Amino acid sequence: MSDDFDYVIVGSGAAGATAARVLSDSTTSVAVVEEGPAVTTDEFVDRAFPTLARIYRRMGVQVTRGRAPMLIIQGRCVGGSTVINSAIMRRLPEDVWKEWADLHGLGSALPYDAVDGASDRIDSELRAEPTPESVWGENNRLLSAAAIKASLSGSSTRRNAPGCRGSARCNLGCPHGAKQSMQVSYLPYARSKGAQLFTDERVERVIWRGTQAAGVQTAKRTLGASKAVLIAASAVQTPELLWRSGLRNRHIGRHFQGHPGMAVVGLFDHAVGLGDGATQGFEVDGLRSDARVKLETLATPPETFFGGMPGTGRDWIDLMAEFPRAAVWVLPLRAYGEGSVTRSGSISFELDPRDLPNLRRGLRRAADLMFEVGARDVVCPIYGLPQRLRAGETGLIESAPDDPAAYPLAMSHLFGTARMSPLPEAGVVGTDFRVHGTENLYVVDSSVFPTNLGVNPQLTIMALARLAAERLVA
Amino acid sequence: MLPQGLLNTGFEDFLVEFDAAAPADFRRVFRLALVAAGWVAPVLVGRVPPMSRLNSDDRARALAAMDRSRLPELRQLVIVLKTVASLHYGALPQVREAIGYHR
Repeated sequence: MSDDFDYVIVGSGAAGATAARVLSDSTTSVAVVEEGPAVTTDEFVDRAFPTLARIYRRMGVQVTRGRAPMLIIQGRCVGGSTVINSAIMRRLPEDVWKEWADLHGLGSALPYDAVDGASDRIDSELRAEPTPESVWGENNRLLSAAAIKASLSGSSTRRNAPGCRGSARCNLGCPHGAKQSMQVSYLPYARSKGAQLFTDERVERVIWRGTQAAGVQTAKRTLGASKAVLIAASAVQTPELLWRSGLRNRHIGRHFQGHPGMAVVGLFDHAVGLGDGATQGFEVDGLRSDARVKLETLATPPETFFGGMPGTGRDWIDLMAEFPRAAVWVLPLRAYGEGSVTRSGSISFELDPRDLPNLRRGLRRAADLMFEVGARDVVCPIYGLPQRLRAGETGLIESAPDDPAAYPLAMSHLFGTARMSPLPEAGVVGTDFRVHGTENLYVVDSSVFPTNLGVNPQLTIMALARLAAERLVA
Repeated sequence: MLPQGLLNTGFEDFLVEFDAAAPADFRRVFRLALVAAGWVAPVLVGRVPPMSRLNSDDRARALAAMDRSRLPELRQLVIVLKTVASLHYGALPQVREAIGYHR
């Protein structure tokens, strides 16, 4: 079976769907190929296990190799990780853009105004807005109160979830269709313009005509692309596809970066109710410059909360029983560490020596903030620390082991494995997003980011994909 | 009050579901974690394995010792056991009722 299109896009997440939206305005001949299943809002349930099994990659237990295995969280369904993220819409920070411009030579290729303008348009289309206080719930309110008390810069989280009811289920798929994940926003738009969506189909390789990408091969069919193939399969799967397609460049799969992070849990004497309120509705930026961490709330279902509590037996059960009075805040770290993705898809990642001190500083600050707003105990599940810290004991966090294996880390923002550089010897794609040494083959996802961001990347991923697609049809 | 004893809450039925849905490497690591808990954890508290021969106090001490082991690999296996157990236990209606997680 063969189908011919102007454009074939691999991946239907933030990048692929955004590219599809732009391209479908200029042609009806767009194909989007998604490895995962199609999902609908009415399928989303309030149980972690079936959700993980159906729409998370490797059931959410993909781990890095290295001294400290870290969970890598990715969606695997139509809409990609936008289906399971918390809808956070952050602009590319200017200080990060300056690094990209000064150290990676991308200033003229990605002018800040152009990235910002694309972000404006996406923000508007996806109806992003600060999380209304009416759906904060107590977890978000506590972080807001802590930020005010400590005079830390913080704000209501800007999210593309108009009409959010505060059901705390973003990460299980929004049960009300309020979150503007790609499967309820850009993909339906593209399909209404004629784009075709192929689901449950893994792209095996790019098909070549000389150095020109002429389409892709899946297990079921060949999809021809007369104008371009756009790869938006994520920073883990994109390099694998490039290798499977016969490309060789020493930067493919290297420079893997992310935001490893962990949680701090405050135990209060009053009800917090993690099941009520926006999943991530308040955030603190005031620690970014000092400790390279962002502090944000995170509502979790009981399954995830229980699994993250330290201890065994009676101690563990006692901590589970604290669920109604627990607040959970997380600290994604803008790590210096880098890793790599191998041809077989395994991911190696090691923290840089500067990373753990930053993380500990952030964790201690977060624990102090918990006590500031009335926590009775704080759980900071680092190996070697008491299971519950009392006020006055947070200094123990800063003297915690310098061994990454002592920290239960997870990573959900992934970058860099096909990075952009004007120089073929320094990157995989050029400043026009085209893979060096090829014609008609473009990478438009976060693989092209030369560094991590320190903030949630969804909007920047969409903005860069939008710029790439707009330039293709210009 | 949270219900006690995972095996009294239908965990074995859940494992059938788990085996059908979980990726092969996750299933393998879970089985490895069960073996380690059964045969290594008792040794850590000076008891002769397997775990099934120990009384409940010694079982609890053995698992706690594995959780506090200086070997990160053993600690990580405890995390795997707790993760799978939590996927079942945290979804139980009686548990959700007990912690006020009403839906």
